[in-house]
Amino acid sequence: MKKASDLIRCTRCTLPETFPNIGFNEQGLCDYCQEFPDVKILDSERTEIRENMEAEIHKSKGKGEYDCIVAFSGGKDSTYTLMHLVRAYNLNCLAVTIDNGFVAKQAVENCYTVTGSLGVDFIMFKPASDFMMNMYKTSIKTGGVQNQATFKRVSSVCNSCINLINNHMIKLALFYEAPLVAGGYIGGQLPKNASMINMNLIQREQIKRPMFEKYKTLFGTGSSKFFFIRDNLITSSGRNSIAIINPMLTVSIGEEEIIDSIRELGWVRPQDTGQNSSNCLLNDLGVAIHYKKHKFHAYEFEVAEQIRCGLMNRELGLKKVTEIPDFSELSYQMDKIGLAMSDI
Amino acid sequence: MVLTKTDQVKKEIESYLTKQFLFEFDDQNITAETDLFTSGVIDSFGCVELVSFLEKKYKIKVTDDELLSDSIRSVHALVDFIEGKVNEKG
Repeated sequence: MKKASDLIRCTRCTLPETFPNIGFNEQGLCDYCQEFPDVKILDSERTEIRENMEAEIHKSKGKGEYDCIVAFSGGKDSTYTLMHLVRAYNLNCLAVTIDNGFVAKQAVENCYTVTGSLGVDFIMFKPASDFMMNMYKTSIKTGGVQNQATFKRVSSVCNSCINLINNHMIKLALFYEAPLVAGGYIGGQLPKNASMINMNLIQREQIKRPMFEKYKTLFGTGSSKFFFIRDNLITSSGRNSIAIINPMLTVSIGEEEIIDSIRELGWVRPQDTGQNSSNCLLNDLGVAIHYKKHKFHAYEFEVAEQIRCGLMNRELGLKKVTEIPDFSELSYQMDKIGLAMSDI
Repeated sequence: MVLTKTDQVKKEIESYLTKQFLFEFDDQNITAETDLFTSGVIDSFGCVELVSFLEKKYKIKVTDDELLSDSIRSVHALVDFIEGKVNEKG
């Protein structure tokens, strides 16, 4: 298997030859870069999606116990998101962290410090460890929980966790009658037009049903409470839809600037979460397995989009996607999940 | 053979879907009539990507109501939907 640093890559955004269905022109530009809009169009698109999101925010204020449930991992992006919603839009937010058993100590501290600095309410929810470890192990072993396209932008480990988190946020929004749910997703993790999605809850359940059935088969019936939303919770809320907002897609800000701006809240970068995460100790295992299986880094798509948008320089991008963690350094994570090399 | 406008749109849609969502028609029992959402080919993020593609490529607007209907769930439905929208614009 080729090293990540030896792959042929797009001369602009760094997407590699191993990325699914990718093509390059004579100048070595990938399909995505060839179709990418120029700066002027990009700015006007960003303005349009920001205005859409702001219209929804203004409409939603003061309608529930909280205006917004924020999926808050304690990492840099969700910290910036929380700060932005509180300061730029004066939203009454409830920050919610899911403790997946791998949240770095510094990240936990960051959660308490940041929410304290911003003066927002905060919940930490920890699903049973047995369930989480089994979920991770099964996701890795089967590799089939996600649909085919999902592995272009996320590892199988992260995908299961993200689905659990998103589902929990929507449940809390129904419970607290909060009209908005916010995530800290950045460009490349989601399409641009996901800055504001009016999500119909019944349709969501329909679309997600096949995947949830898979979850139930793989992770056991106990998984229902983490991945399903009961019809009567939706009915009793009297709501058909929830607005999902992703404010990071509407701002033009790079990693260093994000870290500089959240430092004043007392946020400190953890030193043990690897190249691509600022909260989770499990992330590197997901990256290593993803590379072994798919022959490209799980963060390729996200890094490439950041480079195209001028929010990350190519040198840093290359560093992020070519340094693949070594399994020999991941024994803590593998032991905790109960994973052997033969399982991968 | 000269392609009709409908054939052309169908070809574009199929090409986009197979490239974006990494599957092959027929190979996995997926046909132009298959509900791409309930069959698990497209998830909720994929739905957002699909709408973005349709709006850009065909210069149309997909409303929330249309998103909830069956309009964009299969290739056949998508072709009808796009042609209807484009004709509306004149």
